[in-house]
Amino acid sequence: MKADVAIVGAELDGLVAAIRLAELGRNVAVIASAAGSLHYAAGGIHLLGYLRNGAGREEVVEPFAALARLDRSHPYSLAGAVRVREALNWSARLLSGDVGIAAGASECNELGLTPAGLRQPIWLPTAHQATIGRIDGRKTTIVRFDGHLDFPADLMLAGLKRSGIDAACIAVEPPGPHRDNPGIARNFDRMPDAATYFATIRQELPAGTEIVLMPAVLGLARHAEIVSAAQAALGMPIFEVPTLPPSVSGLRWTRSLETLLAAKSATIRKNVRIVHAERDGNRIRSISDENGRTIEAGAFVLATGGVLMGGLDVDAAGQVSETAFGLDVAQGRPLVAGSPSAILAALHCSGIETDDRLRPKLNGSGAIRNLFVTGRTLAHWHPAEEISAEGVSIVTGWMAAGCAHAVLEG
Amino acid sequence: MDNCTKCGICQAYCPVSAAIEAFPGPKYTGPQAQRFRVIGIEDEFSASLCSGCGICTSVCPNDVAITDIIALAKADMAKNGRRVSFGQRLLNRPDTIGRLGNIVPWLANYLLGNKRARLLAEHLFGIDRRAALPSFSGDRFERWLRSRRQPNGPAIGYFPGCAVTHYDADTGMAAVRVLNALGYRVDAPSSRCCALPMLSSGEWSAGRARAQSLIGDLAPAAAERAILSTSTSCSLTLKSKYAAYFDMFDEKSTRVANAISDICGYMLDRHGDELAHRFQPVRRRVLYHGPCQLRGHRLGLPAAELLAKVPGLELILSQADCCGVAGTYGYDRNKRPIADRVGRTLLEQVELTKPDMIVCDSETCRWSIALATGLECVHPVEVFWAALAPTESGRP
Repeated sequence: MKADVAIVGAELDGLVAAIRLAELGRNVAVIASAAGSLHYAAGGIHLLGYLRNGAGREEVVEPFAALARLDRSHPYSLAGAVRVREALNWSARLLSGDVGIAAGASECNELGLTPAGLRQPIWLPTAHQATIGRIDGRKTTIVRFDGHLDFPADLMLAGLKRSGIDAACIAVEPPGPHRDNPGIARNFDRMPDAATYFATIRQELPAGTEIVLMPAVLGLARHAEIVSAAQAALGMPIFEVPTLPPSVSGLRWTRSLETLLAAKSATIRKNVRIVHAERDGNRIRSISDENGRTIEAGAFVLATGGVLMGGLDVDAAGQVSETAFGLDVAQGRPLVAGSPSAILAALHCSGIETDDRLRPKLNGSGAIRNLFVTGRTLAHWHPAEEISAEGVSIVTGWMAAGCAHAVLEG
Repeated sequence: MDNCTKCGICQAYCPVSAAIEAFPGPKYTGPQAQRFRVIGIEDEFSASLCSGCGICTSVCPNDVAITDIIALAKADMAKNGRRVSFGQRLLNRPDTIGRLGNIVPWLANYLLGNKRARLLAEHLFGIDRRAALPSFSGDRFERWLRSRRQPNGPAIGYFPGCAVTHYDADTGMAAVRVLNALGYRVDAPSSRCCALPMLSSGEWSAGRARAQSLIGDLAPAAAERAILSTSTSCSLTLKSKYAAYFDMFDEKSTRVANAISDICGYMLDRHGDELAHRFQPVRRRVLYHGPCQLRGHRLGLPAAELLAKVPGLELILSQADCCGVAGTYGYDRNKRPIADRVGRTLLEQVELTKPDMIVCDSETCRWSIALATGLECVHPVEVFWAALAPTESGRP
């Protein structure tokens, strides 16, 4: 197969790169070995929630202002503040449809919630996602489903109370026989009359309830419709709180991006694992999969999701390797000694080191000129500590598209 | 099994657990229950509800062979075949049925179309009376291939499998015609069954014997040429399941596994540009359904990539991961209601998008989709043949 740009991996960064390249008129092929890490995403865009400060971390209120304090090797620093803004502005338009991320950028983080009810900075929540600001000061009821496997309601309740919110929790029958996230979401999609279902829930709410919180499973394809039916029937605002994976918000997001991409006639090959790159000096000429099928392209994007999604592998001795092309991995500390959080930090910060155009260094001498590395496979950032996963993915995916486009222009 | 982080992505895509609450899903039935099976706690029967479609394995980010774990558990439950029902045993031998039926094809076809005969078969054998059974085609394909004048180009093997040999000669003929048009001389080194139905229901002793004799048939041809298949599940079985289930890693089995290819994948990789150049317009609105078993090949959707090259063809991609039948799963009277619910996604899309015809690589899917929708349902090679020789071929 031949394409202008071949993108390895269906991570958020890879999908963003593919959509932008297709918009620039490029013929793109996306090759993904399995489902991407959006399936773990809590919903919304986390840009930069914390900065490392000595042994601990400090909460970030103004993420754009905080970019200047990041290390020079951090992906945001490689991009520069101007490009970070440009990429996020571009993506807000892209995500405002089905995903329900409110367009319009803010300078400040809000406080969202984790599945365990802890507060966590978030830059752009989706329209129906709970934040402390949206519920604070009002009597809140968590409505959980009987037997729901993927939602620890007790932790959520305890977390809200710790945040000073007047909260209670009730259990209701789920909308169908399923008790898992995607099953419940699909049953909402199939529900002929969501209004009646939510009217029944209204009867059971404790007196004085002003806000309803429900686990983020309110429909997959018909999410917006179901939330507005719920709001009308309940007569009050309803927001979703994150669940354990698999995340229905992530499923919605994946569907929406893949539909956009398919509409632009991109070739998408799923369940195909890239294992080799054929180089011609400092350019990659073609890549090949485990069946020996090759894909020729003018430029390549490596969006394989780092250690979390198998783009990087760790052996028993703690040695990190890159799985698709065998690129050199920058690995600061050894992964076998120290506290669990230190090992985790070392693991997250391991990855591919690039120049400021996301091109990986080649055996210490120069860079590969037509390969661009994005997202979790990049070194020198820590999505779990910084709470920056979607931000870095969008910014580096957007940037890789621009760089690949420039390479093809010559 | 130890690679499983219990992230639940497989649960999000399993069509059986989406259809029925009784199936606890691949995460549970696969790696989670396996942890108990390995220490001998086995009073857990959810594996029998798995259709074996393989979607769980294909979406797993941690390379857990979930489908294989469940298939092995199923085989243990079936005690290597001793507990497999007579009806399932019958379904497990499509070539035997094919040979019997093809002695007097018109009589057999009459019986298959007869409501009372199907009711009897449901009672006696548990074969659901509504399940789509193909009609016997006699030995039409073999006779046709023997008498066909072929180009003198490079030789290539074609593995027709039971489907083409006994029931669906049209697909085999279109495959050979397209390969001839590309200059190949085609032969069929074996028309035996690959034993996949036995593997899926745990009838392993008989399955292993068949696998070994088929490998014996194919090994000499595999030494010299590629062997192509129009059946995604047969080719997947030959490519990877003999090794995964029967530990057949010997030289001959490996040679056959390396030689066998999905016909669309092979044509896309070697002749994609040529075909794009030669394809004539086919003015049809086509819904393409990539069968679940194709995912195991790890090729993406080669037929869809080729169909996109046919001018004039309006291509709609199926949003369903599985049509529900999953091989012989949907033929079992007890599994039929599950299969019907799994198949709902595809049927809803067909109603919504109103295609003129449906294209799918897998035979049991095609039979069942055609029956459920009343639409013509063909293998992609039939469309390619129509696009290569619009006047010569009457179809599609």
